[in-house]
Amino acid sequence: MHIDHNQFLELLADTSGIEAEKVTKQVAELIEEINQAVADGEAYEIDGFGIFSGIGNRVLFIPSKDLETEVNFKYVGMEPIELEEDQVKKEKKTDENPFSELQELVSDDDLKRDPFAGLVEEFDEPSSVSEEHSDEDLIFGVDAKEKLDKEDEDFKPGPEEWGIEAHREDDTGANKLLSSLMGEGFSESNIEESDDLEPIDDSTFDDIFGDEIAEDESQPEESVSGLNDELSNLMSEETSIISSDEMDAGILENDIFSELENEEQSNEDEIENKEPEEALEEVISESDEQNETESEASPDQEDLTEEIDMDDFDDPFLDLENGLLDEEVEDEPEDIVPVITNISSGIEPKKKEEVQKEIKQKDKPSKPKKDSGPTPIWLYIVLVLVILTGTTLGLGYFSIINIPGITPQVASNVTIPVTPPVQTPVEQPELPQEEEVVAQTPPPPLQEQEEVIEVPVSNTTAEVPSEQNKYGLNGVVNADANDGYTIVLYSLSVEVNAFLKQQELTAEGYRALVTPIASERYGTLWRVSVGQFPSLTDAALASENLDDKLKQSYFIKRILN
Amino acid sequence: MTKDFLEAFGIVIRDQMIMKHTVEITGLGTFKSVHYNQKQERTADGTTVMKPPRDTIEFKAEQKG
Repeated sequence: MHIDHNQFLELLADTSGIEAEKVTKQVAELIEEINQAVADGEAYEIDGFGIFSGIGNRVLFIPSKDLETEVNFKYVGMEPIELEEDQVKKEKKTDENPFSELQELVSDDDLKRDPFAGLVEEFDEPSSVSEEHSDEDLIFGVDAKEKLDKEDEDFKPGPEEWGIEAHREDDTGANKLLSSLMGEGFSESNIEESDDLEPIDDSTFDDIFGDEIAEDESQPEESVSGLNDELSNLMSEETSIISSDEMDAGILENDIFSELENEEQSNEDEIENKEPEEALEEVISESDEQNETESEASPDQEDLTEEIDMDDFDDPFLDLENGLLDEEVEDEPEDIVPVITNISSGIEPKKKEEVQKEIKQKDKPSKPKKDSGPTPIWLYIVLVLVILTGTTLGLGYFSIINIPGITPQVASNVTIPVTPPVQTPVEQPELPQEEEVVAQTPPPPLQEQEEVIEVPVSNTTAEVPSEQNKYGLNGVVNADANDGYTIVLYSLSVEVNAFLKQQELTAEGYRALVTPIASERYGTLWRVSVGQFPSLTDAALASENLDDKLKQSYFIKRILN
Repeated sequence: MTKDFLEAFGIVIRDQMIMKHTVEITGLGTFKSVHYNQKQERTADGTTVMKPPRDTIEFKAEQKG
């Protein structure tokens, strides 16, 4: 396809997004610059595109490497290969072969049909690579043929000798693989019988039915002459298992274990075991007759496989379930041992025991609940302890029981942060020196307050006027209001000073209280406080009404702890 | 001439070359994609080398006058 100048300008405008007029102008400028550079004998390079240069009147264009690789994107990875002389002759023949020209024509036709095929190939690597394999085969056909010839010499007899024998070898190899993957009972006899499809079915039966049948087949059986006989034998054996299942699962187990441990068992046990074996033989004979009739009537393998599957897959799952469920039961191995010992005793007691086992198995979902008995006791003990501790803590918290650290006594002794919280006893100039020293002593810490021994409030008794409220900051101390809170102003070590301070405060109109507090570290301290308040908030609000001197250092405390 | 224009110039010609189209620019020349098949070449060592196919861009300047 030919793209003329106008089409090129349209494409350029579409690609760059620049207006067509500007594109035409810029193209004209570019052409002028290139021609001018070539006329001057210089080269004009466009990044990513190529170089325009001139030799005499001729203008050359040297594409850049990026452009070359992009254009040759299809042939990426194809490099020159050195050929030998023999290969050169063959390649000459291939050169004479006109298929390459035909391929070119075909590719051109395709491109004509789909003008965007090139772009698609550019962005679709797998398709381009797949297309190039044909070219690659043409290019590297000699080398590829050489490789194929080498491989044929090494591994394969060659296309001319390729025939049934090789096919059979492959089949045997495949059969070996299948046998190794599927089961153990693969033998060359099966290979010899590979013409028929039924031996393969036997192997599949082996794989399906497990080791028991494989062992049975491994044993030489004179009666086995054909596949039908083998199937009939399998039928008989399997039906014996069916019959044993119909009797009891335990009998089957007994039979298996008896077969395995015949050498170890004594002769007496063998003699005693004859009775169940005879019973089994009878049952087996009955089942054989039934199965023979069934095989004669309908020798379909599907029915057999269904029956056998039922037999085979029921037992292991039952055993697994028994094993899993018996793990929780007391004695797991004893479930198997009594079965062997019971063979000597007889069938009926076995049945009873097995019926009991079945009953136990049925009752097993309820057993784990019984086994989980000891854990509830442990939980009960823990719960009782938790409840006891919780109750004691609760009683202590609600001051029903005095528990240090839990009862709210500590909370009542804790100083309430009131502005200003920091005590500055130095700023109490009116106090005498002794009182200052005492006042400078910081309030006892919490531990001391915890150790405080209650002493009855001692204050100057005076008659309470009837008009006075029970609680308040000012007035006369009311003995009935000692259940509330007070504002402690001083803690003095000298009783006299405390009472002097009380008198001063009383003279100022406050309800002044003096409370002795016994402390191990400081001896007896005399707290001078003012006011009687029903709650902490009332005390805190009343503290705002104190004099500025008294506001500097105080704390609120319960009058009686 | 802006950079975008020069990039678009190269892209347009590249795409057309990949699609085996010929692009004619008046005043400058014609760009054409040429395919070369694989071929054997004998080197100076005497060995024969099979060269892969390739596509090249050929530019034919416009004849002036």
